Amino acid sequence: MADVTPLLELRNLRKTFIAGARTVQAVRDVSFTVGPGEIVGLVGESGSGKSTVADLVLGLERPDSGEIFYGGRPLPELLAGSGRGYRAAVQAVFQDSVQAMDGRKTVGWSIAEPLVIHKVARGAALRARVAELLRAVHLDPALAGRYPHQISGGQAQRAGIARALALKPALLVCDEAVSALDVSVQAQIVNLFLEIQERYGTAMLFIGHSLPVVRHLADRMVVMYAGAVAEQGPAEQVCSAPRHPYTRLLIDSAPSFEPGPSPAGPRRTRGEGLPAAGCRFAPRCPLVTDTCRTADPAPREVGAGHSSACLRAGELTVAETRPSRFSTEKRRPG
Amino acid sequence: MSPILSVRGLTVRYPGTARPAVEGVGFDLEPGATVAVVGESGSGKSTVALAVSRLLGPAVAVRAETMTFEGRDLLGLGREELRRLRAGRIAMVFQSPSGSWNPTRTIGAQLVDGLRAAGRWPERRDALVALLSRVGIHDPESRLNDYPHRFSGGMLQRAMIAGALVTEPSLLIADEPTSALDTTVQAEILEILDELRAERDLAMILISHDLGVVARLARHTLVLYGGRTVERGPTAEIYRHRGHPYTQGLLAAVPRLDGPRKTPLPAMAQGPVAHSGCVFAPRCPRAEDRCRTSEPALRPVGGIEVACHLAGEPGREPAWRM
Repeated sequence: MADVTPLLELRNLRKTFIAGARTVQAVRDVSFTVGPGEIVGLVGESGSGKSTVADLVLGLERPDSGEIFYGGRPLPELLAGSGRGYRAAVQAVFQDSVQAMDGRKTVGWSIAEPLVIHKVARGAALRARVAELLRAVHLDPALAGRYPHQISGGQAQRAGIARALALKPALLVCDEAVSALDVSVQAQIVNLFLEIQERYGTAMLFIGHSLPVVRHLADRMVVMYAGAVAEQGPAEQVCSAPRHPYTRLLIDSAPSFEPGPSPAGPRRTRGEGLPAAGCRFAPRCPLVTDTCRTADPAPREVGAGHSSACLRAGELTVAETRPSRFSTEKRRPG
Repeated sequence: MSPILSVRGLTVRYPGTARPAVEGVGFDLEPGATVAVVGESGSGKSTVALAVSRLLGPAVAVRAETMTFEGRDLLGLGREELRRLRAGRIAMVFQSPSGSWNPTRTIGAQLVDGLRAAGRWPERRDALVALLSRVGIHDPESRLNDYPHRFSGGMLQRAMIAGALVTEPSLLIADEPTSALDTTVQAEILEILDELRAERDLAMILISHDLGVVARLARHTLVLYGGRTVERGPTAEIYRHRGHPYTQGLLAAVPRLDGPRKTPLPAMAQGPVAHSGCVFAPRCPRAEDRCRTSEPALRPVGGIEVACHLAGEPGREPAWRM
């Protein structure tokens, strides 16, 4: 995607929140791009800043510094006035679509709402478009007459996606969009996202905490830790040859069928707060050196389109980040 | 070794429902062993947990051929005996970290309540502090004065585990104990639970919607669908054989880090739980006429037990492959 103008570009974004006496640097110098039709997976744990990035992209929060460009134009310019063009082109899919819909309105009404607001269709054409959208997400158009509490979690998620697709967006921002679902439903929704990418060429910023799910969907992956990008690159490369110890930890923590202790092992050395200086991951890092505690590592190229914010990224190979460093003795499962 | 918990033919029916939420579920649990109960929403897995801990109200019909814990009939116990059992010998950890704590009282006060109820306060005070530190809470003495909102979800769940284990129970029932948490925290907490199990000879019922999450910890697994046990046996054997199409579907639906990318996942169709014949037949890609008319019993196939007419028949490949 290097020679194409990115659909979305985040450049050195910073966002700090003030919570009582504390200030929280939710997003620290985050830069990445999403190409047209590309799915970029954004992974990290709670507090990593991934949802704040989503809010910044959706224009729900303003960055303290840094810029967001959409189609080469800066976001404040696009949001000036009604901002409707941008708000139509960039749509959100949330974790809980039942809550995201108005419980007093029918599913059909919720899907129709953006079409009405943007004056795209009315009357019979509106009803036809709603039916078409329901079919596009493999729901029976008859569901339009139901209320959110009358449909299943999987159906609600499909309806939420139908609503997001109503204005034919170029980019979907999906925040934990499959996290609360049963595994069989999750698989269906993952398949639906892949189908949407293929059929409509819709780009996605897909935020999740499950590395296997994000890897399955994403073309590229951005790994966030404590507000900053730890590693980014092609999804397969990031997962099979991670160049940041935090990515390695995420991989080792993924559920698996290997009997015995998790390769990640227990890590009780984690402190409560983040260090004031140096690499934020240092207190949890098995490869930490003295330099890591003083120097804040900037992202560096480690391969084509692949960068890591680890001082030791250059010496990291798959073998060196292997979990043996975390491992404890083998125990039989109980 | 004789089992610490023995359940046979457990059937639970909620008032006003046409069919039992759980029917004919049984398993034995030895001291220090873990059994996983796996299934999706509506499978009855949480009902099994609530029935064993006798937390279902009087309106819910709980029947069993056998349900004994440490040799005592759980269904025959009175209110006070049950209360004492739950304050001491049987401990529980639930999914929602925030929903399980009272936001208006400190973590310490609530943990002390638990010890008082078990008649172990202040005798177990030091043990509580040691356990809090053991499950990964830094500086536990001062954190005890904090209110729940000062704790992250993972920290609340750690404190809950410490509170559950401080009375030295012999059985821990954990219902999705880590499902609301980040995967790194999930892996860490499960690992700590497993260490404590091994050290204390603690028996554990681990309830989860994700076979992958429990596979490392549980030697035996029950797969529930529509309130019925569809597959039961050693976890490693279940993973190898995947005797039941539902288990096959569950395993195939989860993307894996070493699996293909950007291809459609084998996703089971949704469908109702059947009222006659095999409960899974409406969703089963292999269902035949007999599946819709006669209910398959759990029977040995290879090293496991499977409730499927088609299991073990020669030339039958699993319906889903990863």
